[in-house]
Amino acid sequence: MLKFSITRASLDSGSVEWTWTGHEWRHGASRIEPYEHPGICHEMITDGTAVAVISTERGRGTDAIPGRPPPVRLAPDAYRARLRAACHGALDWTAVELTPRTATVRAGAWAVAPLYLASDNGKLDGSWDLADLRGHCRAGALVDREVARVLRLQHRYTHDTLWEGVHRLTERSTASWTADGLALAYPPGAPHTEPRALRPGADVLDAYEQLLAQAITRRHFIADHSAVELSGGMDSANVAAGLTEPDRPDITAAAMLLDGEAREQQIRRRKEMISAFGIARDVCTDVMAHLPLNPAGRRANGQAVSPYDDPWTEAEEVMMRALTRAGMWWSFGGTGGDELTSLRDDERPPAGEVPTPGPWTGQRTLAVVDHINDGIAPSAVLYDSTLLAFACRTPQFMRNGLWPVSPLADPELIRFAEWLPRPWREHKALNRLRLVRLGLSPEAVHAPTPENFVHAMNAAMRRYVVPFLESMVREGSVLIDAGFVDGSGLAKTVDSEFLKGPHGEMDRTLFHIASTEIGLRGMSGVGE
Amino acid sequence: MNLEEVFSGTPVFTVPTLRERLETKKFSGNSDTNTERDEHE
Repeated sequence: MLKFSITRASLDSGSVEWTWTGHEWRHGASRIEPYEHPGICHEMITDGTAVAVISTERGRGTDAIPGRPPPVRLAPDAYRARLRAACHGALDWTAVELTPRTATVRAGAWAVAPLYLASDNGKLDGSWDLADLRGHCRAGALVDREVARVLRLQHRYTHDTLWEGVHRLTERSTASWTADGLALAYPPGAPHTEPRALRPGADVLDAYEQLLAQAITRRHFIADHSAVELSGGMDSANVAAGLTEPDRPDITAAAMLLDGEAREQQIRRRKEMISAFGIARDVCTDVMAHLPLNPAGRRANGQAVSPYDDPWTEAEEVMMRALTRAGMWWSFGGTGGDELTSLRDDERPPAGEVPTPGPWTGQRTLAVVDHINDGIAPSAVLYDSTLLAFACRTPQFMRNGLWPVSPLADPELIRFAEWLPRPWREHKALNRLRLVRLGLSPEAVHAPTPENFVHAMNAAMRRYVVPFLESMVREGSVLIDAGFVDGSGLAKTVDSEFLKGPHGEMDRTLFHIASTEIGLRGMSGVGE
Repeated sequence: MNLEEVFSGTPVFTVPTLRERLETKKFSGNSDTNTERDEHE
């Protein structure tokens, strides 16, 4: 929600020095830039000594804060009360507080917008867009365990990024910047709960609908400026059904259209949902026309693309730009839905072993495979995987002027779903039964053909990704030079992928080697 | 919404262990490769 650069000098001078320039607060060389969006509120307050910028998701019925005045002077008690209230908000928030010797940055439990932090040379830099911190990203100073997590698809929610000195402020964390440097502290682990028995005659679907409606309307949004990513999956379909009330007839649907045998089915199922829910218009993007690493896309045309960006960032960019052109400001979606109906550890068969490292795995990666879980965040209020999904997708929404809303990640819905007996969660029964009650057809509720991106990713691997990996072997690469990827092992892997026919199953996990390499090249000073 | 009208018994709250957290494997998003991460762990 914020981008900022704070110098040591501005900490030690008075709070009255901060002024609003029209798009940011400035004080000498220091600046704090809020994300301008009708769904986000920002304010700067001071008690005469300390100054704080609070950025919050705008709650329903909350007035927008007009303009961006210089710091609002409050009595010390009122200042502390305002800051405390903001830091207990039910929606997403970020707060930066500056006192004469310390800058303190805090994140809320939602962490919809990630915040990356780095400091050096008497300056603290922060941004929701990792690309803004690329001056701090050095290819010669990588965090081994984080590189191993990304390459081995063992992603963890943590303060680590791929670069030493560049940190992610995870949910409820606090960062303190003093003369001694930047220090991040995790919060206590958040409690979760376990299944309970249902009362006789309890209407689970009614309770679900009420909680989902509450999660949707908890925040301010304008229906005719709101879209819902309606892929055809159960999660987004339930969000769409909750979003499209009779008094909200102007909701727009969006989707990335699949290819292969599922395409016609996806089109047919979405058409039924759009009709049943009363959605006003539809914006579709053909994923095959915008495959990962395609020459016209973000990764191939030299932009600084974060290695944490979504694998489908090229197609998502096209979809988000279309939504922006259509006047959308909010994008609702089903993120958090998988976790909501997931089975507990004691409800599923034992997990399989982590696979043996592939021949491409370098010695530096092998050396840290037992340290993947070191330093990770404690139990979060939401789920780790939801928070990682936010970090992966939100910056792209924000660069396009959108704000993503994920009602299925709502903590009250999480608690409700954790209490549900297993049959309600298994195979997303909760979501399917609700759609049945809404009158959707068996095909809409249980897609006979799996709708996923396997076909598209196989095509992307053949056309773009494997040739890129081959170029890494031939021309050199950050990951090979640093020892995270073994060059001769990758060459053998590439050779075997090239031998696969046009309909062969590609090793799609190799995509992450390419996306990490491209992220490192674009964000780091290579060779430094 | 009063969920005590839906559920019976006393709720139990605990901080999940690392293993329990890692078992919540499903990943939100549109990625086939994310799905494969589930299979990996």
